[in-house]
Amino acid sequence: MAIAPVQKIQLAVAKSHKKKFLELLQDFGSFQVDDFSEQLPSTDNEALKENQHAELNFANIEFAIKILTPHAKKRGLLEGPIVLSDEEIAEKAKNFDYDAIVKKCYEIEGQITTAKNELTAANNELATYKPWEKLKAGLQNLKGTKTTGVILGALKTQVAENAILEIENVSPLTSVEKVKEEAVNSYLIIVFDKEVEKDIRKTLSEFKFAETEAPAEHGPIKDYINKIEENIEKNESNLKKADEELKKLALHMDDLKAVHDYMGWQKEKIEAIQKFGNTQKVFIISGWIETKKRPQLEEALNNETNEFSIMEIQPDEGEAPPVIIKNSNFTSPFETLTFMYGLPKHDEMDPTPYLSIFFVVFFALCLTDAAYGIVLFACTALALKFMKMGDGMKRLVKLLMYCGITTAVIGAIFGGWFGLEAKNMPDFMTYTAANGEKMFFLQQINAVTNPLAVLILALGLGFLQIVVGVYMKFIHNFRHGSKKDAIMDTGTWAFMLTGIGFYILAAAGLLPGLAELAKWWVLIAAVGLILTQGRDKKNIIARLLSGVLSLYGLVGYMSDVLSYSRLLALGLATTIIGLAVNVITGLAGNLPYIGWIFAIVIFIGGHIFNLVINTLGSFIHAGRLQFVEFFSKFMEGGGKEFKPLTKKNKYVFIKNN
Amino acid sequence: MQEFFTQMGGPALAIAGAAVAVILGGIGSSIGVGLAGQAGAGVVTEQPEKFGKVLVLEALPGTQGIYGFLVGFLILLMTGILTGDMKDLSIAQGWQLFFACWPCGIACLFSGIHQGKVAAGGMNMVAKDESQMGKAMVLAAMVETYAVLGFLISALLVFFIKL
Repeated sequence: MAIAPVQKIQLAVAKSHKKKFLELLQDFGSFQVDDFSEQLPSTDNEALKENQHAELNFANIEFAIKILTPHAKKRGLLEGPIVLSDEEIAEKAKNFDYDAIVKKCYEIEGQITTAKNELTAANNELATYKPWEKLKAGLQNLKGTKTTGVILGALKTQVAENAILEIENVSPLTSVEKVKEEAVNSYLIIVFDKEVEKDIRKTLSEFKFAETEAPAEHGPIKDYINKIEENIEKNESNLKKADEELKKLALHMDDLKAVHDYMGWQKEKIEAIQKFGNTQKVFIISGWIETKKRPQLEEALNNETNEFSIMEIQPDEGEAPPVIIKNSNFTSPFETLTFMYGLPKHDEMDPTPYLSIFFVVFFALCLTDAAYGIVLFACTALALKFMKMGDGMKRLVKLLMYCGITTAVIGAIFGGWFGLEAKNMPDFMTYTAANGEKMFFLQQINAVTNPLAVLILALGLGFLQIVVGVYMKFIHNFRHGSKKDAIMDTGTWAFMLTGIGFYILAAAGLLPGLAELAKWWVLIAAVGLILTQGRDKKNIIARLLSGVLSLYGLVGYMSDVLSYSRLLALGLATTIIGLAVNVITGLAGNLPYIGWIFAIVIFIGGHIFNLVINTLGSFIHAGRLQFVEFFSKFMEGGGKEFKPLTKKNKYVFIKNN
Repeated sequence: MQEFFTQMGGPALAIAGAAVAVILGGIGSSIGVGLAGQAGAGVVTEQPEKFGKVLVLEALPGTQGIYGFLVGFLILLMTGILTGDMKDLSIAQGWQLFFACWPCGIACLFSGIHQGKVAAGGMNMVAKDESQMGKAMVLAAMVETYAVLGFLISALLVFFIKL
């Protein structure tokens, strides 16, 4: 329910137990290894080599998985991820010949690259020479002779006729032949007297003639083109073959993934070794552990050896302990939100249990549709039951399940059922309220005809949450810091806000006879604020002035409260989109004969759209109210996450024995 | 001028209002979703497995268009256009409905564009570290606040203007 106490400890273990000890620490999974290698740097290079080896191994398998993934069969949703026990994974890593697969992957990857490169080159060549297909002269003859030159090339078809005339005009000893004419380009071969080469080239450049180099081959160009085409075919079939081979290799995907995770563990361990301090016979580890778990660690070590010592040490100056938040099974899904914002500092409060109730209520107010709530609950409950998920995902889905429950309850109070209107519904589902309005069974308020009531409710809840936040800070500071400062800094504000709450209730006529008292309360609180908020100023006038200025803080609280009006807006948005879907459904239903098909599709599709988009919106906005309006009252955040040495898995779920 | 408005009548002004809300909100969201989508496409090119997260982030600036649509829809509903028996609105009522649409329209226009920019920035966060997704969403949601407020006022006005 709070931030768990941690302590920094130092362990000294005989070097002979290194392997066993590391395994033990990783299985224990609750010890964060800090860097101690600077004080006592390691002198053996073996660890370094081992590290490089582990990294290489890991990178190789990652590569193989990446290459094979597009060719592997996807696991079905119900089939779920791979589930194995620790031992099974280690077994796989030992017996499964992953090196062969990695090697093969590298080989095929090389082949694919070569084939692709050759293919690109061949395709380019083909594009260049294909237009010359009809050229009959042997390629060896296109080099010219002692006195004649040959130029091949293309120019724009629209200028081709002109160009041919002009080239022929240069000298009578010139011959131009159009080999091919396309819509855009025309391809010419020009044979000329070498003495006029300069003039010819000058004329050609005026027509933006693009010269083509003839390939250094013998025989007709047609043969050469055939050769290129054969080459393309060969490379294409090579690519296909490579793909098939990859597909075959991809059958081992599950095993590869298991080995990948196993190699990940090894890498983590070896990285931890780099952080150990070393003496000749002993290595020294410093790090953080949850205080409660220290006896467990000692016991585990004792079972292994007695050649170790363990003691608590002081953290370095300015070193903030890592933060572990602990919550009951019920509230732990809300840690999703706390992690989203970032952890509280080690000396702050864990906001998780406090935000839980507010979050689910606010979420429900944003969605306010009982039917959506039930759908959301059903989907998430089914997902939890039948799908394998990582811890983080599971927490999120569970959180949404809670939200579904509150949405169903609050939605029923607001009479939201797929955005349907009570006045159009059959009698057995509705009743007539005191003001004559027809309402759904269980419905108390109609947000569409009476949005003011909902607005007041939203602002009231917002005010409540903010007051709770201020009180939390007050109580926390009172317990853990200077009592005087706590009372003067935060206590005065808590007193003030409570007074304002009273005053508003009294002004609304809900507290008859207490109106006078409430007024005095607020006045006294204001005086208290003026007197206390400027304490750090030396000059008495400056002190009073900053005291008076501090009353401006009320504006801040007011704007925070007004921010909760979004609850009404988002709730209305859900209702009105639902209404719009229903109206359009009705219009579609009026179409003759096939109208009902459209109606069903529009009704289901529209409401799914509404549910998805507004669940997203509700989650974000209910979350924002916690982060921006609530957290800012009592915590700064920025705590360091506790990162113990564990077995992290990317693909495989560990079966607990 | 006066004659022009008299001829145009209340209902046309109300429809003009609905148009303002839907069009401005739609522009805001189109630009916003476009900005976010471009950035998102870049992320997906490199890391196709992040498509789901990118899609969610891209959808965030889409709500402004919905808010605009809702205000437009409310006008259609309240004036009875949808049910086929349109209420006989006076010119004054027409103007009231017309102006009631502006808070939502303008707020959604700008909020949509800027939320799109923040969402596009958030794409970079997701590209670097998937676990920062929540923070990226909250940052974008800050911009949406003002569209929500604009929508709230417009919706309340349309609800409560006496017809």
